[in-house]
Amino acid sequence: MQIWDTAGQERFQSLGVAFYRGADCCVLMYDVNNAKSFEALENWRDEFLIQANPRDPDSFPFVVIGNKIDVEDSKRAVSTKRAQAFCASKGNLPYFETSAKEATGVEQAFEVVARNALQQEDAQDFSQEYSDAININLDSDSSSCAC
Amino acid sequence: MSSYSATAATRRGSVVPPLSGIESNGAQNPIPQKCDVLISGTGLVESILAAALAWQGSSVIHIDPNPYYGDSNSCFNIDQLLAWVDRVNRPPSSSELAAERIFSNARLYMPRPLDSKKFLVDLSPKIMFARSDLLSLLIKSRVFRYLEFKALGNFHTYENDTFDKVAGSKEDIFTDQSLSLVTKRNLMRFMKFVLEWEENTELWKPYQNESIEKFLTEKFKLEPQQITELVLSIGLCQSLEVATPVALSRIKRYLVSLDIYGNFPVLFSMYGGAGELAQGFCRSAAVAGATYKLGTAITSVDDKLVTLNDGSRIQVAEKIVLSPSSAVKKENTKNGILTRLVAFVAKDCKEWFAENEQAALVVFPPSTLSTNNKTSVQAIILGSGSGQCPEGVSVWYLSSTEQDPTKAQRDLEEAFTKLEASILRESTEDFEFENIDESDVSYRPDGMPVLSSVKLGQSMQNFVPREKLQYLLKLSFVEKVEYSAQPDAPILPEETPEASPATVLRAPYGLSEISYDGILTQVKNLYTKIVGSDDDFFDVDFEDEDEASAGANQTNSSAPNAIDASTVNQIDSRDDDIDEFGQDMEL
Repeated sequence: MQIWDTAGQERFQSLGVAFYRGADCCVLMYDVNNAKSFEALENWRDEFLIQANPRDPDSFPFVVIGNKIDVEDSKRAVSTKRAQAFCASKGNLPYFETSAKEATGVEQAFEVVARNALQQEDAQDFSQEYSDAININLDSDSSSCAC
Repeated sequence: MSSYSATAATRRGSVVPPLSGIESNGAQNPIPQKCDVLISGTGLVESILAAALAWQGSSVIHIDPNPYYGDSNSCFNIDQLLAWVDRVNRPPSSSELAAERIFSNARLYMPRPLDSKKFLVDLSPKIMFARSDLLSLLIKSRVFRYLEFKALGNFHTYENDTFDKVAGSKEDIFTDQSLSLVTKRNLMRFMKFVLEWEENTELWKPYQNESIEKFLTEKFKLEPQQITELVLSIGLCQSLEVATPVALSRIKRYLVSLDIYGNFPVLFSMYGGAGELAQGFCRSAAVAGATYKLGTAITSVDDKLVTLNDGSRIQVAEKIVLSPSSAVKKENTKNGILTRLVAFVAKDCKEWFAENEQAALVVFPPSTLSTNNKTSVQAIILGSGSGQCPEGVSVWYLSSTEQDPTKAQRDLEEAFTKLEASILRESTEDFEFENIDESDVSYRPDGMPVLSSVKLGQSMQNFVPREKLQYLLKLSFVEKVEYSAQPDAPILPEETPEASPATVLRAPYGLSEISYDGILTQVKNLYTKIVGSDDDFFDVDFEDEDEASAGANQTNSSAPNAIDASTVNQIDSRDDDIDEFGQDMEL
């Protein structure tokens, strides 16, 4: 399993189509102290669905994470309730609040990400006729060579 | 300055609203005001260069005038392709007169609209030898993790109107019933020699300026058919006139690539070739800190101060690198041309693929077509497993290095009809023999021959398939490529360039070579002109990078590193394996 972040290429909307290909799960993350970052989630979700072009867009697993909950309450700009309402409206997306800085909630969130990704992968393999990719890194022990 | 909405509006012609940044306060950070190297164009050469420089420690800004990655190496869906064809064929406006045009003469035939996202057209389809410099770099740089590779085992040679599968391995030669015992022995002797040809100078030195054909005939007593297969299919040379050492290195390339990942010599990447690799290297560059901005072009360069079309100004400390399509027209220099014919065909073409594979290569050697072709026509056939077309469809990429564009077009059309007739013959159950004459040949008003208008070769003369081949899309175009006095030569090392005093460097044109070989040489030449030498080219210990980022990620979620949840793997050069393979070949 690989987890990719946007590596800064999102800054000027310069994520290439290759970035989205073959994803089994998409994590939408925002800053709970920044309303704009929350409001952008819907656009990111649309962009993902257009670029990744998944077989069944309605059931594609997204996970929403509100980060930076360690920052003092007075700075908080997006309430849990508002975030949950958004997730409910998008087909009951799992929602987590985390502090990456203090490692709060990160493990639970990524466990769900991993679980949903695996489920999605299984569902796809079943319908995919050719899953015959070659692992070109011969010294790798992460997965066996297809040949 | 709201340049982003304009970009997003033209971007992929999609309905995506402009994405708000997730930066603090929601404000977009402006592009950095200074950098070491500014690169325009995201073709494969520029993208590998960006990653190499970023990992070497240079601050890199990488832009592309197009709203997509890949430059002249892009892979397009149908909507993008239609826009691209329009652009290629549009006469230049007065402001564009000086601009370089890489592509010309794009002709598209699409009888019916196609589901845009289900078809991908690769502007520069390439194959990768299992033992090659770029593949090693993909592993070393870890960019391979962003890509998916599949096998291509079948190399076919078109001769006497049939497609022979090339006997490329020791086992194939042993089991090939059509070869005489003497021929087998001669072939085996050659196979053994070629794996160590560099050391056996006394044998080929007298022939170093002679053709490979002469060398193989005189020194190994090989028959014309074996020579054709070795040189043109296995070696993928353009003609039998190629100089002996060039051809030997190319034949060896195939043999040492066999059995590294399985019983096939080459791989191809899914969803597109060089353009997909370019995106992988751009991501790697971004991880190393390079700044990316698509849909952005240079409007002026004043010494080392660059102005972009979004209004920003960048002070460049070292160099400005322009891809050929980002540069002004190159005057007084020679370039070559490569002519391509691409078709989506409503047949899976599995008859040509090896078991469990989704790709094949077909070579039409010189003088095998009725157009009396001077150079080979090479074709890459990809099935739906390539991710470039739906099931039941295949995509055919034919290319010709013939330098007369009219003749190149005729060679390609003729090879296309041979492929067509062959797949119908091979996939049809019920043969029907009838006579066919010249009156059956017809051409559409635009000059494209109509489906069954094949000038049939001898053994196909009486074959009239009941079904007709339906093609969903047919595209031809001409690309400017590096001029090469000696075709097939880029595989040999060039002399190392020195650091360049010029601020603006122009990246080279693409290569007509069907594999990725030669591309890293192009990149390293540029790298040396910027850095001074290529000693530290991708000299990064990614083990340490991973550990450092793993540590950083515990405390800082915004560390811009890819996290690989799988075990961190040791990366080694595979030189040792090659030696073992050489010993295996002992007879």
